Amino acid sequence: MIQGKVVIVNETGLHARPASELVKIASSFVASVKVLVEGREADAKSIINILSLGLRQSDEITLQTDGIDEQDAFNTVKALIESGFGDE
Amino acid sequence: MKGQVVSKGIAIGTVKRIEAYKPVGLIKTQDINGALELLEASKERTSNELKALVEKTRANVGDKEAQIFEAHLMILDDPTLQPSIEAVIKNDAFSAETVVEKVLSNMEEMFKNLESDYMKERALDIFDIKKRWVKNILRPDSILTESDQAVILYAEELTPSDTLDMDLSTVQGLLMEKGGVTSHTAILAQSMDIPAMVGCGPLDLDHGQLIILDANDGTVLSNYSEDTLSKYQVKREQELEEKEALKLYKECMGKTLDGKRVEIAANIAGLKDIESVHANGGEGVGLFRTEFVYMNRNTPPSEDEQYSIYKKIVVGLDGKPIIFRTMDIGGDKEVPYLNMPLEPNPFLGYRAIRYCLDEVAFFKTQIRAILRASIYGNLKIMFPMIGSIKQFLEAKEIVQACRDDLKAEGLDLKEIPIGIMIEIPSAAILAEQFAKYVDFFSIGTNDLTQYTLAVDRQNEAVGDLYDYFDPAVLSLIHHVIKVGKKTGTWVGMCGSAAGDPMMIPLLVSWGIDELSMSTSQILAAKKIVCNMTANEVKIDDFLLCHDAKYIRRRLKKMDF
Repeated sequence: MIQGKVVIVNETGLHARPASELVKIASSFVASVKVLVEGREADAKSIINILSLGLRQSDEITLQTDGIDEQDAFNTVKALIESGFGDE
Repeated sequence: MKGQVVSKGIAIGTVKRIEAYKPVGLIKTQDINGALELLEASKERTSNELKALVEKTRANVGDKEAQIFEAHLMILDDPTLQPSIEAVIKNDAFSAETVVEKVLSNMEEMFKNLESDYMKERALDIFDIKKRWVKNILRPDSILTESDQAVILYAEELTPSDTLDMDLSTVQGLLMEKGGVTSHTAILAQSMDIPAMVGCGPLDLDHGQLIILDANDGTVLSNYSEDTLSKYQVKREQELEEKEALKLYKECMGKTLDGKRVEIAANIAGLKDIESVHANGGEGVGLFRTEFVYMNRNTPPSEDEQYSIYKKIVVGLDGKPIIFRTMDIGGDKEVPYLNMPLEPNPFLGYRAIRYCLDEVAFFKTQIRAILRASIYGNLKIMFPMIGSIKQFLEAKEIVQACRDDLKAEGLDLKEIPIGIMIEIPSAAILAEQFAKYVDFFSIGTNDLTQYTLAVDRQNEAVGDLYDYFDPAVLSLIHHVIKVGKKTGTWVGMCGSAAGDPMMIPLLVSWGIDELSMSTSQILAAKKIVCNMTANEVKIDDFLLCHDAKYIRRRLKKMDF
């Protein structure tokens, strides 16, 4: 299992468009991908879970991946979040 | 029968009943497997509809906007959704529609309780999905599919979000229980050029029944003989032939026999109307209702999103002039994310320019987008609901500030004419004083009539009183046109009156510069203008008429 902190950089937080990007990417890995924040846990392959976290800019989350391609999953998802999902 | 004709003609088709969304309530089922199957089938149907909507939005608006519907699809396919729905059916034996409503309503509540406004608005997304899914469980055939032929839509009323993703190509006519002459149904019928009646009250019609909608006479026939049906079919053929004949007027300019130029333009709501402008020979767009850019979404459109749409529209007009009316929201238009307070008198309330002058940043977003799009064509800007010169100058200053900002960012713009809608009586009365400051007027007869005669145009109980042929309204219109002539100010008209064959000769005789109307009325308007001489009709006699009905009778007898 790999775990690490990531900060949300998007100005409007994790709204519908970036959330769906995250879910798309997370779902492409075999490993489980979870987002933990303030005691709550969300499955990053579920857009409902992710949206319901209501993540805003500068929120810090713990990204957790577990499985055969966990390193790859962790690096890719972290990079995606830190790049701001291509939001201008 | 009760009801008003909002678009003439004859329609023959099968009734397609469109129901408003009503919560399902708690319904149990004996057949759990059946419910699970229904769930699967309806979910697939819903998914296909959403996929089509993604494509349509991508083509007509843009990628970013389409991605929001892709998120809807993801919600539908979410790996946690299916298990929770199946669990409820198996444990509680509720029907498919009850379960979907329960689970998605809970989700709506959850989103509503989140802190950020954006997340609260996701609740609206969930509501949309819920509505669509439940509809596909209960009435799977109520969405129009390509296999439908010749239908007449029948509903309590139609809202813009109802018709946004419908395939309207097989719709022959519209029949509504509620609504008035300026309802969405009326505007839709006129832009599609199909017969329509509104405010008919509850009618005893069955889904699938073949009916005749005679919107020339204002009746609906559900029991008729073979003979009657054939007679109507013949009449319908004739109507279609006449429409063909009008096409001769497509390329010509609006000009009277004695050489007076009257621009015949179109009222549009968005990109999808551009094709129709060209197809009907519109010389330009006299009113672009920009508020449609704000509707049917959960968040305000960004400057870039607006710029992208505005640019497409300006470019699509290929050099023809266009007048952008800045956002006119409040009253009848539903835009939840603006959180406009519920008002007892929305038409007299906090809307349109009044809202924009307070929410300057919001207003500037639109103005900047319009200014940026202006370099691609020939555009003017006008403000709605202006009641005082001070308001106009304030709004104009904001436009100037945006111009200055854009110039500092490297965008040097040519001069853009800035004008106003004349819809509040104070602006009509003081037109001559306004003329010192504005570049043009466009008379909005819908609201002008409403405010001048103190009649709620959506209230069927006083429907009769609402009439732009009222002598007082005619007097104001006449005054504004005359002021235009006197001060050299361009005067157009964009309210429903502009397309009225009985009103056109009067306006042309007084010297109006432009008439902007629904695209379906353009060819007929050109025919009238090109076949008349502009001999001025004196207003004095009309002012002595006791009411609008009397004036209408007089006009019927006149020869232009």
